[in-house]
Amino acid sequence: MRITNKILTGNYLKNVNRNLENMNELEDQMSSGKLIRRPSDNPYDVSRSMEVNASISRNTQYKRNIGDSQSWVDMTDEALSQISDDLQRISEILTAAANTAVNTDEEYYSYKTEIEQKIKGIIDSGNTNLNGKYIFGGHKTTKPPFEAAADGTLQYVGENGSITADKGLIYREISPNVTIDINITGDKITKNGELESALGSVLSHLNAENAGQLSDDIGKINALRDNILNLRAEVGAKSNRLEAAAKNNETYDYNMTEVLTKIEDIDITEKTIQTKVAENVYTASLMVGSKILQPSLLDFLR
Amino acid sequence: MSGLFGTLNIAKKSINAHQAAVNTTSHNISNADTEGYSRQRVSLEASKPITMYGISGAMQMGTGVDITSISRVRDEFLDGQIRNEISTSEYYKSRDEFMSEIEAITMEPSYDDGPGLSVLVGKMWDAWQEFSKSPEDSNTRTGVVETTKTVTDTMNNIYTQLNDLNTHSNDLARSKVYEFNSTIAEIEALNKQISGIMISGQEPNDLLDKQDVLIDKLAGMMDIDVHRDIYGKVTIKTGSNITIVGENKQSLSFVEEVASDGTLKYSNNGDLKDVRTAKDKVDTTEFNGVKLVWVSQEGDISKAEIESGSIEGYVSVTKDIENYQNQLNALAKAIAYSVNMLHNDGYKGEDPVPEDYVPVFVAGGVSTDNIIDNENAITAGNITVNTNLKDNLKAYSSSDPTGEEGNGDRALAISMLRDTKLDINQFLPPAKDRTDNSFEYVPNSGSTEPYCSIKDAASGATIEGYYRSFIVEVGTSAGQASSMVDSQDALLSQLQLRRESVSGVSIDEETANLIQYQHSLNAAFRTVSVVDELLSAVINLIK
Repeated sequence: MRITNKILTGNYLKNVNRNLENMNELEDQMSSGKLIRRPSDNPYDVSRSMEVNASISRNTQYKRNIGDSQSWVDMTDEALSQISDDLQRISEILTAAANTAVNTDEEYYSYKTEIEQKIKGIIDSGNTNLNGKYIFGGHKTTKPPFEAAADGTLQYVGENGSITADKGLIYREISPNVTIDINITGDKITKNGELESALGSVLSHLNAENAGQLSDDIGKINALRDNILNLRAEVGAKSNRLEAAAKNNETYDYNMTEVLTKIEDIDITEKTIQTKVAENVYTASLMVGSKILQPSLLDFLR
Repeated sequence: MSGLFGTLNIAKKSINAHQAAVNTTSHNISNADTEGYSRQRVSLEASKPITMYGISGAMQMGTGVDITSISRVRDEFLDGQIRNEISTSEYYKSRDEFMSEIEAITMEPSYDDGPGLSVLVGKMWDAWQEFSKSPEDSNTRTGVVETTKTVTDTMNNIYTQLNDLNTHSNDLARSKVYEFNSTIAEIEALNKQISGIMISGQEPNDLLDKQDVLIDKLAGMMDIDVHRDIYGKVTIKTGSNITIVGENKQSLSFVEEVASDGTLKYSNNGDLKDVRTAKDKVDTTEFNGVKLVWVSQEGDISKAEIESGSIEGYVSVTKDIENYQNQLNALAKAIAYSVNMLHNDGYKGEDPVPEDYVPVFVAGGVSTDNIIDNENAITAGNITVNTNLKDNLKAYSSSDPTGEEGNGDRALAISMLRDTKLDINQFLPPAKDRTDNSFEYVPNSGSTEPYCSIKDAASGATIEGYYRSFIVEVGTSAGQASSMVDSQDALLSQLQLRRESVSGVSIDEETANLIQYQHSLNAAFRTVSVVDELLSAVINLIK
């Protein structure tokens, strides 16, 4: 083939340019640490990377939801345990009161005072709040759901909960399209008002100093305490579910991060070597250029 | 006739011929770097001999050298091949110019807190989740409004930038059409000069080179077939057999507007200062989206179907951009309608609008009589957040039996749109009214679904999924354009190398020739001086 000076320079420039381009690409990847920087680099990897990035970010939101739900549920359990302790104590006081044939007025008075304190305790536990939200009020989260009644007992003024009518239940999404209701409404604690009436009758029987009828009340209070224990079991189950969800969430996050790394991150060693090679090739091509582009026949004529 | 004067004449002819050769060599060396220059060669031929009659009969005696021609060294077949490849190459080059900008506009893939729409939409859903968790808290409302505003701002921004690019590529296409026509005018002018010279039997090498450069330029703008007749006149036809140089030629014009009644306005020869109206009305469906037309000398209009070249490259980019904008519009409508629907108990545009209707998304800067007309006008370019939204955000559904401050069911339902498959394509043009085709609303049903929702469409995609496939489409087009540019470049440079190999000037070769001609000239001069001596000897015989 006939070779002209233009062919030599043209080819040379083209090759040097290609080497530069190569180097630029590699250095871009090295400095960004990413294999893909624009959709055209590899459209399917980019789409996959976007998808995985989106699931990771969404997963972070679920993690936040699960964490918030867990503190909510833990708080609920704590409060229920207090209430159950208070009921236990009331039951003990009533047993003491009922077991003695004749109590003095002072004894009745001290039983009554303590029970009144315990009722206040139950109201306080029922008005537990998490970040300013009352956890037992159903959707009425800004007002204390339990109030002291005029007769010294308590009164639930929150929203009643019901799954079938979708009332009072607070839902959280803990994984894609999976929701969990995290709250116990106050009407579950009072067993639809039984607690109010039982405590009411306890107080009135103590007022009337009627030891005989107090033993009936013991049964009622114990049944209500069992109810609280059932609720705690329910809360425990929710807590377990949340824990499992948290674990899944963590595993998913780990797996997805790994997938993401495989898609978009560079292999530092590999890229470092490639960059070095590209640099060498580039320097070599510059050197060759200085040798071959110089001479022509003219240089050798006198 | 021989004799000393005959010999002197031979030497003179040799000097002439070799001077011409040196001249041509010098011309070659001067034009070593001229674009499109083909090296020229002087063809020498022994002159017609004379017949001499001697004792032993007749014999032929040489009379020296003649120049038969000075011609350029060129392979016309290679030219044809190169022109084919130039049009493909230029087509993808002009596409690549824009596609790489388009993909940069999307800002994908964006990492972590990146500015890409996919990340921002995710943050918007997250904000709805937080709102559902603490609806009584005003911070979470602000979160919803702000993240949503960021999403709409980004959408507007992408859309506007696409608009700008569209205008830009349109302008480039138009100015290419102008350049195309002025190149043709230059080629035609050269046609006249060339044929004038060739008829007289000479070869206008440099004019031919000049014309070939122009034809190459033309090939970059459109796929063409070139035919040169024996008088050097070229006839050029397009790939679809329209004559653009030659008899009954048609000129390319840029369509400015096709009115609904079929009146077509075009800037003649791509000149925006010379907008004309076509003499006949056109079929609006046939000419829908048509940018280029052929105008015959009688003024008849026909649709230009071009396969490659930079003009078609720019035109195809404007079509792609319009397609991308349609997809973004569909996406904007899908987000707006679905969120607004859940936010308003499944309301989807019936008349009359409920009094407590609160849209989340509205069309910004569109003034209409009622809110639904406004919403129907939503595009990716004007979608924005309702200015009164913050105080009117509804976290729970009004169909809920009890509406209380801590109820975030509706906000939760909206955040769960993230995983809902919506039939987004129904909003692609020609989209019908929103009331005719929209999403299927599922109200609260208590025990099974404690919140309202939108039913998954059978062939739908999630909002993020739709956007991802949009990005794949942009990325694939951009990737194809840039890889085609690379491979066409490689192919083209191979062909150009071959052309250079045939027609290019080699300094070494010219120098060698120069030395050769110098020796020949020296020899011829020497002959003259020998003849001179002989002649003076002869003259000195006379005393």
